Amino acid sequence: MRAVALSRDRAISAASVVGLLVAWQALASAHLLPALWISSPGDVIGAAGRLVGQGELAQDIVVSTRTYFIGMAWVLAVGLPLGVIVGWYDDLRAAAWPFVSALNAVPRVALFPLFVLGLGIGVRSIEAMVFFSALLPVVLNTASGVTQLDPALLRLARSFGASDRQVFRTIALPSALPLTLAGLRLATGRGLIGLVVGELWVGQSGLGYLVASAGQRFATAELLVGALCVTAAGVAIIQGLRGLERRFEAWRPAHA
Amino acid sequence: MPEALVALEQTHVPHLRGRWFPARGPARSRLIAALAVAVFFAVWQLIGSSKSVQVIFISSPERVIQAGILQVRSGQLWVDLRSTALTYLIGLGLSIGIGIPLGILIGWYRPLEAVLDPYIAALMAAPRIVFFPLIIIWIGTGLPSIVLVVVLMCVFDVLVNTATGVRQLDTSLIRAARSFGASDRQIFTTLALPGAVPSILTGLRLAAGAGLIGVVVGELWIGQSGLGVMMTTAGQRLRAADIYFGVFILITVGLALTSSLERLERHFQRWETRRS
Repeated sequence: MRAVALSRDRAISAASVVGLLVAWQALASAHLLPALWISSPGDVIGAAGRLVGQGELAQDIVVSTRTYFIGMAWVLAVGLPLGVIVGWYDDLRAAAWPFVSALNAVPRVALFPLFVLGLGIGVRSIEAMVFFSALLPVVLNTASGVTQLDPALLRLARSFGASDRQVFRTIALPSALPLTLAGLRLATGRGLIGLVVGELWVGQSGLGYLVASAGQRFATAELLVGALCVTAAGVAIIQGLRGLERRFEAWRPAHA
Repeated sequence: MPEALVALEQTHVPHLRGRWFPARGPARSRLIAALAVAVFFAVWQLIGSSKSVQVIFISSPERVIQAGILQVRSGQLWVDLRSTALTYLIGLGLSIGIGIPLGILIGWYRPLEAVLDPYIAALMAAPRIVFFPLIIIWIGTGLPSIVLVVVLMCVFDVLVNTATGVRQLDTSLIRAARSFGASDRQIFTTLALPGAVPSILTGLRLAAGAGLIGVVVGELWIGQSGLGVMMTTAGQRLRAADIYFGVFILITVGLALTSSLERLERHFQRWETRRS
């Protein structure tokens, strides 16, 4: 029964997407919708073909991907150790708390003018934007994963003479990992917002720049190509991380 | 990070000790937090006022306070704050007005959910701010564009959480109400709406944060007045102190907003558990 309902829902969803595309194209072809406003599926495909042919789209994707991954690599390099340390030492957590909650409360994009002032108009500022947008979920989730370790398990491991490394590998890491991964999933989304805001504003290439410059030229079809690429990237990243999370979620009960 | 896991016992042995320094507990945490903040500002002031460091973006607490006093005296702060708050609240209000009814419909009627799900799922995963240039093509660079950016940023949080709240209603309660002859309207007002309130409030808290991003980005980019505009112009004039002042104002607003919404959320969560 459930499976039937689910597959019916899928069919409705698919029909909804196809229907929307057909209606969009039909209305645009009949000139019932201003092309300037929402273009049409045909025009979007045409613009995508043109951008791919000129190699522009590939270049923008490469630039955006590089900026994003550099920013996110910094997030991992700084966020994970910071989360573990802050989660482990109560005093450090107390010291970090005011800064973390302040940074958590302010929309990170408000820091952008500072990055531009400090790092100039360019890719460094955008990387900083990605970093600061995505940092907190990783730190906070890793820290709470470490804080919530089962103290009984720790004591048990200690009394059987486990070394720090062993405790870390067999108890701390496995039980903190699901929360860390959930934090990472949040962070990927936030980082993507940071990337797009940065590129829209000061980018000289990249998908955000493609969208912004298309907007200035009122090239709606090109704008939609860029926006749809970004949307697809967002969906792909989140789906991928969900899969990863489910995998580690599955082996959690064996330890916890 | 095995170093971080040095002897477990150490976490219980306070390094800082003394009659005035509590060994553990919330009092100790609060004291450490206050010390950390004090040290942060002291170091910032030292670096900012030293002659050897001539970096514009560092500024110093002293200069930030001066910039703040200037903005308060000239009345510019109130103009900016009012403009930003107005844009933000209109956007948030619209998001609530659209998101809650639509979320209830989506949560209640399964086929409708199936129809809209592909778009909602994609837009939830995407950095929706990327559609900002499209909004400018549609309605120009005025205030309505920024309001629409706020709506774009926060309506989905309200909508999705409302739908989840409605979907997770206790079906046995609804069946019981049906067998006692409750009308749709009665079920809706006595079961569906109260049951969904905690989830709606969660959505509202998320939306409040996302909307703040929307209003700041909108103002940074195309605003004519407001905190975001103040910060952009300060950046163009290389006045870091004004930017820091704006950041502190936004931190204050953000903290006040999230803490009050969290309190509201907790209040209704208690209420829900008492009912069920």
